[in-house]
Amino acid sequence: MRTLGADLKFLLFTIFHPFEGFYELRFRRKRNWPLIVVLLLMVGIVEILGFYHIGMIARMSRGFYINPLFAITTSVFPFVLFAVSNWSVTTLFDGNGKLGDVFMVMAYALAPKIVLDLAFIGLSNIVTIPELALLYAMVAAGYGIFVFLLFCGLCVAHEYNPAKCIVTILATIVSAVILVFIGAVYLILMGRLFGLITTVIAEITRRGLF
Amino acid sequence: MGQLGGLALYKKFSRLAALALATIILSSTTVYAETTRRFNYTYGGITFIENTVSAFELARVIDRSYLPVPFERADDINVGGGRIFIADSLAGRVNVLCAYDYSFITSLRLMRDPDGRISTDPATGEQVMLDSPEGVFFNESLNLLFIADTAAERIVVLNGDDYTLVTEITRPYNMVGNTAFRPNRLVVDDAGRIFFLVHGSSEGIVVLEPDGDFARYFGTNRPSMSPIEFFWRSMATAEQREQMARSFAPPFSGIDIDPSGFIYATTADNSVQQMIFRFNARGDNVIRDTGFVGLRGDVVIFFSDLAYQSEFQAVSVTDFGVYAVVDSVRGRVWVYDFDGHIISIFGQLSDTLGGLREPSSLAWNGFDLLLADRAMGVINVYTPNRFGHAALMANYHAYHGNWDEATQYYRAAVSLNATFYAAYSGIGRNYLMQRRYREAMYYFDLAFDQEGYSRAWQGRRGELIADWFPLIAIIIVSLSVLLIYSEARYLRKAAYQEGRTNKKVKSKKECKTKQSEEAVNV
Repeated sequence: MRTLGADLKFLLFTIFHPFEGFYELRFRRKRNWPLIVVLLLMVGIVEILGFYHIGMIARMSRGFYINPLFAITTSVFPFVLFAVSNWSVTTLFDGNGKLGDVFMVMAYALAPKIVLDLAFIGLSNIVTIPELALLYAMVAAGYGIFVFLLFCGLCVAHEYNPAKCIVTILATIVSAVILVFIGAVYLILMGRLFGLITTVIAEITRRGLF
Repeated sequence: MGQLGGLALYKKFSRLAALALATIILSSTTVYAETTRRFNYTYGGITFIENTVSAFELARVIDRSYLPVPFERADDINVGGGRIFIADSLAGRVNVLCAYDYSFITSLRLMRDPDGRISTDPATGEQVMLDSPEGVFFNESLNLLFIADTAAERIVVLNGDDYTLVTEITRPYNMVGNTAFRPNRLVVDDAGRIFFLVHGSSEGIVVLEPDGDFARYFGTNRPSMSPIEFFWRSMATAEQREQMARSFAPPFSGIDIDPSGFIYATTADNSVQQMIFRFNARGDNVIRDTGFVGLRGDVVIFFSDLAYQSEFQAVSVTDFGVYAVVDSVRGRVWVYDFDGHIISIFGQLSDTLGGLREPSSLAWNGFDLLLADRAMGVINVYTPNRFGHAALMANYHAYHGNWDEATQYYRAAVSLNATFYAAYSGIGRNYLMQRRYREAMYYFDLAFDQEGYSRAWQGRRGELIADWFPLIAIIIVSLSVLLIYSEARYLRKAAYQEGRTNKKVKSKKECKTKQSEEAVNV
């Protein structure tokens, strides 16, 4: 906890000096895991905050109810999926980064996006519809910064050159789709198996074999 | 926490299940349609699709037993000059009914001249008899009845009082394009220009000058192309592209004109972006589409009965901005207000009384809505109930700027039907006009009217800034004073360090120690 201030300062340094900062984080500094987890969870928390406090004019739908756990899970899931599939791809592509490194890069890259999203939620209560375009530009900038930082971080973490980094990122997207597909297949199969077992049990009990 | 999450998850799923159930019930209800009361929903609210109160009730049915003449099909209806005109293409007649009590007046088939003699065609010497009229329009200011005699490829113009033949318009010599001169729906503006549709034409609405010359094609409906189609087209060679079916602009299906001369039109092609049009004189679509779900009829929900997009067949506009369109996929009539909010959705495809099989046209008769079905050969007359009347009156007053009366009627309508979301928007607009921004924001929030809310908030924000201006000014002034002070201090410090001045800037610490020293000396 004592190092939190220093780590936050270094987070700021990393955002403005991505290559140097990620290099330090990857090879020199001690990692602050609570900070990384909190940063990832912040994505979900921002999602919930947005649901309750976003301005009326920026609201997408007339919703009155949200399940906080569900919201956190669904909003954090894509990033976790990306991290896992990136790690699984880069181990095949001679990447030197560990899963922890990828999560660290992901969390640090998300930081400016989180701040800008929070600013969007706050400012959306102040602006009118014509001024909303500026805020959307801000959110888009947040995404842009996130992608750039992620790219830098992955380059450093896996010790890749930029071209290879781009190739692995594309491969990551493909593998993420495959992961989701396999997950879905697994769930369906388990559902079938469960159905089979319950049917067998029902059959047995109804025939009075017990 | 897990327990809580589980409960929340359960609630979410139960809501989803309720929505699915509602969709199933909506899609499978068997309706015994004496009235429309059994089957009403609207878009909006928490559950997105909500059960609601009907606005119109079936008042009477005009079918072949109602009229003393052969009545086979109801292709087009038009109301004007206190009369209802019904085009019947199979019997070759235009039937005229009284608009006040729906009594039969006359049936037009054989044309006569003002002297009472049967008119003959000067070229062929044959009698002028209606062949298959598919469209009819009465213009009150010209006092002329226009009949689109489709198969005979002509427009017959009759006197509005005694129905004697005024003129016949055939294909003008200067007409260009591939469109055949087979008018099947038409409207005429007060200058006498004729706007007609040709079934299946992709060139737009044909406009004729008052003297029958061709003027132009109007309001060309932009074709749509999917990205996949675009991809294949860009890949194809010139020969392949020749062989591909040309993508035509979607044709119009219905047309109407409002008192200010704007042409309303619909298209039955549901692949285009916009399906309801309000054309200005330049041919731009200026329809207001600020409603909750957009002017595309039913919202498409995959794997349900709502999996298919509505196809609009006809449009009719009142003289206060409310318009109705009819969809042939599910036989629904959609009544929209001027801003594109849903007032009512009713009707269904069925063979029972009040049901539709192939809706072809609709027309407003005051607040009554006449709905023609081509295949059944009937006209259903719907009349507004208490809620419908309040909703229409509210829109009447809102359109004419009588905000207080409009608000009264909107409140009456809302007290009868809380799911009439356009009313909240209307009340909010009234408060906005009175510059009561907080109330306006409350009602726009209820209606989920973001545009209105934005305008109200803009007003409220201006008020807030005006109210808090002294404080804001003090903060800004003090901040700028601080900035200037610190900047001056920094510059002086820099100057001292570089030796340009011998005045040393005292830091706070030094000041303090000096004071304490002085205190000690004293």
